[in-house]
Amino acid sequence: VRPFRYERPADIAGAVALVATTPQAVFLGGGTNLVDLMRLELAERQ
Amino acid sequence: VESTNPLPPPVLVPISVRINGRERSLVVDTRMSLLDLLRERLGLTGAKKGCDHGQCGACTVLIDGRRANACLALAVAHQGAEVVTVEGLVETGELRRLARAFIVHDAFQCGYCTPGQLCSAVGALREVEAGWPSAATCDGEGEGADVILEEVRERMSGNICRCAAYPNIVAAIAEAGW
Repeated sequence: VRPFRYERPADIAGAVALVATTPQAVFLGGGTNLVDLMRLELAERQ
Repeated sequence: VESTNPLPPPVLVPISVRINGRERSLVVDTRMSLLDLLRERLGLTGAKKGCDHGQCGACTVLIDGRRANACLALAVAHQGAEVVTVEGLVETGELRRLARAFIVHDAFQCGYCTPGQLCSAVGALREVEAGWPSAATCDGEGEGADVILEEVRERMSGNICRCAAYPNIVAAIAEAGW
């Protein structure tokens, strides 16, 4: 897995703004299927 | 995906998590799973690494009271969380009844999936208590022993036992909880 940054904005507006303005950013829920796909290097995020 | 970019440096973040009632503060790589944090950093090897991609349930722990696969939970995303592992359930005595039922019913062969089965069963019983429906009984039909066994099978379907001790696992949980 390539190193990535993790951010936890204080509110929904902050989260939306951050993801909208960051290439390759994505929302993380419980982990399925982002974490497992990143581990297989099928998904890559910053 | 073939990547031509050189690897960026690891991203390290300080976090605090309450694990089995004890506050733990440590610096983690953002890529570290909660499972690796428990096993590799804190020496809590009760939660097992089976598949490491959320299919087997051997790593099941309770996060803020709800069962979850620790292998898919990023440690960094659980700042401030309350995590209980099978070791924690032993300490609080919450496991006694269930563990005894597992022994009486011989609900294992190799035992590798057992910590996950136990944590998951505790979580499942809490869900039943809280009135959460399951696919097995959502139509509200039927009652009695068969329905209970069907309920246990459905609610424990996230925990695989490669030895296939399922009949005994289901019997143990049904006896301990329902």
